[in-house]
Amino acid sequence: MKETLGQSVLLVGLAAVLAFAGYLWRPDALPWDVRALEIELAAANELEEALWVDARVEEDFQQAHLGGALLLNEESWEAGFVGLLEVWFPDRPIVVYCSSQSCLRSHHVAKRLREELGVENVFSLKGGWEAMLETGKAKGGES
Amino acid sequence: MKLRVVSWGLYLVVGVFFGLAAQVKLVDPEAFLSSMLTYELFPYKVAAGLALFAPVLEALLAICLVTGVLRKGASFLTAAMLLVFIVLVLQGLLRGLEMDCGCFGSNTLSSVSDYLLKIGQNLLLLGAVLLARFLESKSKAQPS
Repeated sequence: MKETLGQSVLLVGLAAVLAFAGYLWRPDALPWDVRALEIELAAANELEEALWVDARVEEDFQQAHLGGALLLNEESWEAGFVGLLEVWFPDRPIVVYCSSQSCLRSHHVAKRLREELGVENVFSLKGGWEAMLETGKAKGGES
Repeated sequence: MKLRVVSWGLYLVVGVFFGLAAQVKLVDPEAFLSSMLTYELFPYKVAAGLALFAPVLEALLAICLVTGVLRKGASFLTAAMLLVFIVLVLQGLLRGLEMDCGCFGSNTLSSVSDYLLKIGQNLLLLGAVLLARFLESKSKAQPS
């Protein structure tokens, strides 16, 4: 049993070292600052003239989306970004949502928008589409 | 000799499962992180740390199970990990969550049968690794 535990500790330690080395090698493999971009739905609702962006896949967008929301995701960035520039003006806040709290698509889109527009008031909606359905902000179809 | 072959065969099966599962997660750690967030158990940074650590451990265990290096520890940790997976899936079932277990890439668990299938799969792997360990120690105890 002592040998088993000793080997187990060795393997866990080795895995930890390798995982840390992997992190140093590819620090951007995972988004670490997700929470810094997040905004609660209640706070997002308070933003004046907020532009809502749907970062889900087009199929989900076609099934249902928030009224007035624009489709903009990594898969069709160019088309979506051009559409966004037509209605966005500096200082207009942007709220990006994806399907749920576990999705990370809205984070990527919000981060990229901050970089490309050079503004700070672009947020990723906490809880995403699920939160909007639960609170009644969105319904099954366009709302 | 026969016991040893059967034992190695079982280790090979479990090792291949773990190796494949690790490979998918190592290639796309973000998808695995996204899956772990559906468990609704871990704070974000803990989930992100686990998304880096767990696949590496799985890969190491796969190598050790198949090659026989540090196999006692590897089989113990494999059994422990499988038990943890079973508990994680079970809590999702009991809480009525729609989870993505992230076991082999995207793997959504939405119905009770999905959950039971996943628990059954992990129980089979757990049984296989425990049997392999038992047969291996029995073969060593037998005079050659």
